[in-house]
Amino acid sequence: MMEALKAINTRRSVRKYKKKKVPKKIIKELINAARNAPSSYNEQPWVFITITDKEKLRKIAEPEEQKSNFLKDAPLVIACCYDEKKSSTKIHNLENVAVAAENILIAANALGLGACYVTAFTSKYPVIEKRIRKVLKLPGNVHPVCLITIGYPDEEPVDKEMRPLKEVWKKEEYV
Amino acid sequence: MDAVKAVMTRRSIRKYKKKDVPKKLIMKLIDAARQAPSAYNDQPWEFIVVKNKETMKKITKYKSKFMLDAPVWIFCGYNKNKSSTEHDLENTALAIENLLITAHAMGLGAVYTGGYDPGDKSLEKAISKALNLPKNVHIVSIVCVGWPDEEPGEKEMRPLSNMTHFETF
Ligand SMILES: Cc1cc2nc3c(=O)[nH]c(=O)nc-3n(C[C@H](O)[C@H](O)[C@H](O)COP(=O)(O)O)c2cc1C
Ligand SMILES: Cc1cc2nc3c(=O)[nH]c(=O)nc-3n(C[C@H](O)[C@H](O)[C@H](O)COP(=O)(O)O)c2cc1C
Repeated sequence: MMEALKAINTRRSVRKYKKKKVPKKIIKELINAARNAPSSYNEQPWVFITITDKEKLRKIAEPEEQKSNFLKDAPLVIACCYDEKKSSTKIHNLENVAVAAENILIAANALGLGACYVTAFTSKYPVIEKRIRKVLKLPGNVHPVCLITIGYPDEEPVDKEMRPLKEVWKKEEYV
Repeated sequence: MDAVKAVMTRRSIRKYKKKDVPKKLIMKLIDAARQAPSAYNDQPWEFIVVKNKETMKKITKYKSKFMLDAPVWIFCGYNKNKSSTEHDLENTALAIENLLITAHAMGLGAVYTGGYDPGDKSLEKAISKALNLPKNVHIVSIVCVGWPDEEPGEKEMRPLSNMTHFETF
């Protein structure tokens, strides 16, 4: 059990994991957390593909453009996607998947796991998404947004630079 | 509240008591929002807190009327000048989810409502005028926050097995 604010405020990206597997019960809890997210018109257009097969992860990490190749050593990766057939609002697909992804990251932290949001698309390197599509056998209507790498942490995150609260918080008007 | 429970039980709240939300709590919401991950640690987000009903009225012309009864609106957006990627919608949505869960864990109620729509610029115009917003700031959502005055009804959930796939789609 971890308090909600603590789980949110101490979440950090973890990219190095112990070899220990993530139990199936916990994987289910992570997906349950994700699907309780809000979504525009309650469409829940998301799809989650859990990947533990090393060979698949190796193939996804293979292109040299895939700089986040630590993903091949993650005990668990959850590909978070949206299915355009389940979605009527084209403009909210990325937001819908992102709010669900944040639930996974918070629940993972609360359950003693470490995780990292790794992008599944960049217009600069289309090969990254292409490879994910091929390995996961995604139909054309299913679009990958991110790969969340998950495992028991084997590193302490270093301090990160934060924009100060005052800089991001405005009252009543912007200027 | 336990974190997993907070994530699992958060629901949209659209009816609020006539009671103000103290500044200290609003600060906690935004502090939680800004702990979200962001591509290249850009943290491109901006949060504009509005309690002024006159400002709200200018905007509810284009939005749902229930929003006017919320004591606080938090406009959540990103600043293109702070961003180096094409991931700003995701960055901002991740931060908003932190805000929504924190609100719920503190006993507040909140709802994510849509922001700018590239297909219809009328809301964008009203917001940028009312908030004195520079062009480089893009509003993703107006989050309404208040003390809940409703129990959310049951919601239809797509079954877990319908959206979870093992190894391949
Ligand atoms: C991207 C997005 C846009 C939304 N826009 C609106 C909106 O404009 N007005 C509104 O009342 N609710 C809006 N919602 C809230 C959804 O209607 C709500 O999350 C959904 O019905 C599921 O219910 P729940 O949040 O209680 O789980 C939005 C949610 C998301 C994620
Ligand atoms: C949209 C998005 C894309 C990201 N893409 C990657 C990625 O491809 N590889 C990676 O290692 N980290 C990625 N990250 C993680 C960020 O680098 C990380 O969140 C940021 O540096 C802040 O650190 P923190 O998560 O520890 O708070 C991404 C995060 C977001 C939100």
